[in-house]
Amino acid sequence: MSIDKLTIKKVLGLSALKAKESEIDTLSEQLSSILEHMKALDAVDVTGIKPMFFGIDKDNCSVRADEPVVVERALIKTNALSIVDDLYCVPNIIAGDDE
Amino acid sequence: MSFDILNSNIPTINSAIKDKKISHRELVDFYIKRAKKYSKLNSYINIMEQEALEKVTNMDPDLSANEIIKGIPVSLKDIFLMKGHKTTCASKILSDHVATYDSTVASRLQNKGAVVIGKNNMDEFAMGSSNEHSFYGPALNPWDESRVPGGSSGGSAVSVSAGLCQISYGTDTGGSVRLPASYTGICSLKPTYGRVSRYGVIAFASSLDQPGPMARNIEDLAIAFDAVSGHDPNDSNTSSLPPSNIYKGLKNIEPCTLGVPYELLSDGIDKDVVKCFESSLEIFKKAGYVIKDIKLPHAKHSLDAYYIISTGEASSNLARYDGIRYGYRTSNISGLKDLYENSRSEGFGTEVKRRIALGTFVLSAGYYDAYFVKAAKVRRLIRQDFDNAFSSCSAILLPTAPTTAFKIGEKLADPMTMYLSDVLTVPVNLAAIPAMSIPCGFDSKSLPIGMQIIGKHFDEMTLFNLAYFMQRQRPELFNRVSVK
Repeated sequence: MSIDKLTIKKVLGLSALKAKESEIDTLSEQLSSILEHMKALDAVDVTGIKPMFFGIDKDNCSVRADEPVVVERALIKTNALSIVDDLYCVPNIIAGDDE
Repeated sequence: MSFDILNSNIPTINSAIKDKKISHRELVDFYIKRAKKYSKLNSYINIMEQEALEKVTNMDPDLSANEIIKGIPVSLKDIFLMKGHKTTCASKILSDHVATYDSTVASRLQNKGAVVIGKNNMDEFAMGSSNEHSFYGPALNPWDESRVPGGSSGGSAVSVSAGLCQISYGTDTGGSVRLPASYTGICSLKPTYGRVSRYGVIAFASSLDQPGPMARNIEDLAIAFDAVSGHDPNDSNTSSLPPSNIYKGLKNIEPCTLGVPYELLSDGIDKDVVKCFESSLEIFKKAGYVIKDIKLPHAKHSLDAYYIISTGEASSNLARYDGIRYGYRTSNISGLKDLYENSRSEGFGTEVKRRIALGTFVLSAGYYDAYFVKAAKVRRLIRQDFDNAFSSCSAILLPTAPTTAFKIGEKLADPMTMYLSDVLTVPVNLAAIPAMSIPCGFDSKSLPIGMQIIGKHFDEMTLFNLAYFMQRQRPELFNRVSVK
């Protein structure tokens, strides 16, 4: 199957990604080629087959107690892009307003 | 120091330390010096020299029986979190990210005294078959530096193959420890899904990701696996089985029946690869093993099912990178949508963006049933094929990759051609079974070739014993360092 430029743009929007027009052309070609290869799955009869989202039987798996995990606050803050008065600071995101 | 570290396995090194032929500090210093000397191979993103040397200074040379990995220099793919250390996943978007907790793999290794000497290069977010999709540039194959080492755990494979660490750990979502092991002439294990915890491993495709060890010989591979396997309350998908005890269980086994899906060897596999693989089959036959032609009728659809499932899961997992709380943030911001889109578009590399887009497409309304659900149904058929095959054989043998290491840049322009490198490894991930890659020879260009030994769920012991047999039959292929 081919995937047109309009669909690529919709998919990029859903993915929170941007691309230039030339990149969209390339992506359209590449994804079309990949989806063409995937068409082979159409030939597989899956009537009555249940989808399997994990390859293991989950009977032996257990869920841990839902207890709070304390992580060092100072360490978490080392990854913050901006801290002001001990609070996370994000850019002004309302269009037109000053920082 | 006259002791030959590079050609020794961990038990031999431990004996040398006990006999005071070498100290833990000399061992760690030796590997760090080599890692720095061969930095052009680009196998490390970060070498933790000072911390590693401090850890082994004055380490007691008298090791108890359960301290087999104590003081051993280990490297980790830069996908494993280590508290207080940068963990980048080879991505610009995480290039300044400092881990706030330890992955279970890192904490188990450190609790047992292993010394992490550095974090390895890799394909960004483990998406790739060549290690060319790294923000830090490609790692180079030490057998031929114009060629790729395979991916995505390419840096780990290079660090083992070139003798820049004793053992390493990577992750395998669709072949990412086996493919680079094959291309660089070393051993690796993709354990049964759920045998090694994914806690603290940056997620790519959660139903497929599985950490696995890489080593130059089977003893080291067994020790490396035993050190990290077992249930972890922090990963609800880990099995409740007790930790593995493979190293002590290595032994000669009675010849058994081994399955070979000959139908998968017909198309697109290099002649040299097939020839080498068949010569390995002859070795098994001569020792009394029965080689049986088995059928895996749906395995030919594995690649398509894999790239639907893995990209769908990746699209969801990577939605968390938004430029708000951590990671790269664009300076080009005119609104919230811009902040998200520009941060992600500037922070992710081309291959990651391609896979996110494909994954978003296969999960989107209108295509979900036709692609994602269909692939999940085919996945069940693939697993059933393996279950049926194992009713008549103890393990399955296959080449690891259709070719040997290819030239850097050779497949970058055509993603589908690159994806075909994984055609022989992805069936194992979909079925969640264990598989090992071991060296089985060289092609006409003197590049290493690997073969896979594939087993039943949680039957890693059989794989190790078969590999151990092959190591004794062809010792010249094991414990081989590509850079002297």
